[in-house]
Amino acid sequence: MSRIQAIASYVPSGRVDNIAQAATFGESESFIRDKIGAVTLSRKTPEEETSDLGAKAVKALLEKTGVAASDIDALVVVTQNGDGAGLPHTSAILQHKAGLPSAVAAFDISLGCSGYVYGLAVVKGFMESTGMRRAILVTADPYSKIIDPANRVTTLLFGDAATATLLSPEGTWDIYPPVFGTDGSGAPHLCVNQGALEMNGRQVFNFTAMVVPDQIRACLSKNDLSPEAVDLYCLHQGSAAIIDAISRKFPDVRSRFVNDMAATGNTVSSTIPLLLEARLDDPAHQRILISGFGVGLSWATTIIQRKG
Amino acid sequence: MLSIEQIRQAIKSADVNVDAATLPETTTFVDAGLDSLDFYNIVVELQEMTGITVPDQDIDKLGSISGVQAYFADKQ
Repeated sequence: MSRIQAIASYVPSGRVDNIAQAATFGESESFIRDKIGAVTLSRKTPEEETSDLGAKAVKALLEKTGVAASDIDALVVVTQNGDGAGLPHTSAILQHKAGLPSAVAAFDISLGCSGYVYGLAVVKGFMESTGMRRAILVTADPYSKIIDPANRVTTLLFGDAATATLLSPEGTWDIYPPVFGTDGSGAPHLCVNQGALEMNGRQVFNFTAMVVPDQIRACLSKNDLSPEAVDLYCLHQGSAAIIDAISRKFPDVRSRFVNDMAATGNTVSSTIPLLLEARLDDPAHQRILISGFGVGLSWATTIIQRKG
Repeated sequence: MLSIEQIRQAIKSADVNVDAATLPETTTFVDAGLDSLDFYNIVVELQEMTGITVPDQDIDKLGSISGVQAYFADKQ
């Protein structure tokens, strides 16, 4: 049985003052604080590659857990903004930079904000079908590579970060069967065009507010749980407004929805593991629902539970 | 057809910073101080209430309570 053992991260020290940036577009401070939710946006340096962010997260994870690099069997990287032009796969470059053994199985998963939930299921299944004991799931999708600073819809939202999650039989968090969703008819609403990210904010908001609450209910139902049986709802931090819109549909547990992206912004597939990293050690949390949604359009939800 | 009361209920459910009960029917949501994300929330509630998906090209028709009523009267 593969479980989550630990999570570590690397958040670059560079910051964009999002309130000052918003002012250049005529947006108010209250709009940034209350609706966007990101007061500053984390930024990598131009010299830092995606694999550099991932390698720092992996090294932090190995230091945190005391696990030796030589004990890692698999490395999986969730990204759509990998090193260079995406060939070779970033996980191969990261294997080298993080000092992992050449016996490691390494591959990338091309997903955005739903990627962490997918990644947990993929890595867990991969480990259990191959008999591997320790694998690292990395999220590293620096959107600063594709942000047009003149595009107010995207430049106020996204930050850079990387996370690394160790899965092993010694882990303490079981991963429940997930629920997935895909609607490629919405692909144009969040895509890269001529090297720059474009987003139809209304359509992405509409999709999320309409489908994610239903998927959360489906995941709870699939696992025979009531909304009250979940201690914490760690959703992808798309924006403060979208967390509010989803949590509004669960009035009895609304206060359990985490809204925490002020320091980094939307870090794509890294938002959920960043939330978990700060909360997994709190004994008050026994069962946490996680849900990612965005580019694709793609959405995925699962539950993790502390081993009894 | 949506009643004015149903539209006010949708605005209330959207949890936006305006008094849904007293908002004049012809006052635009923008003039009432609502931003784009408030407006998106109202549209989501209206879509859930009616089962009708509002395409981007129609979104400007929903700029006030009276505009919302006229739009959905035409659709239903």
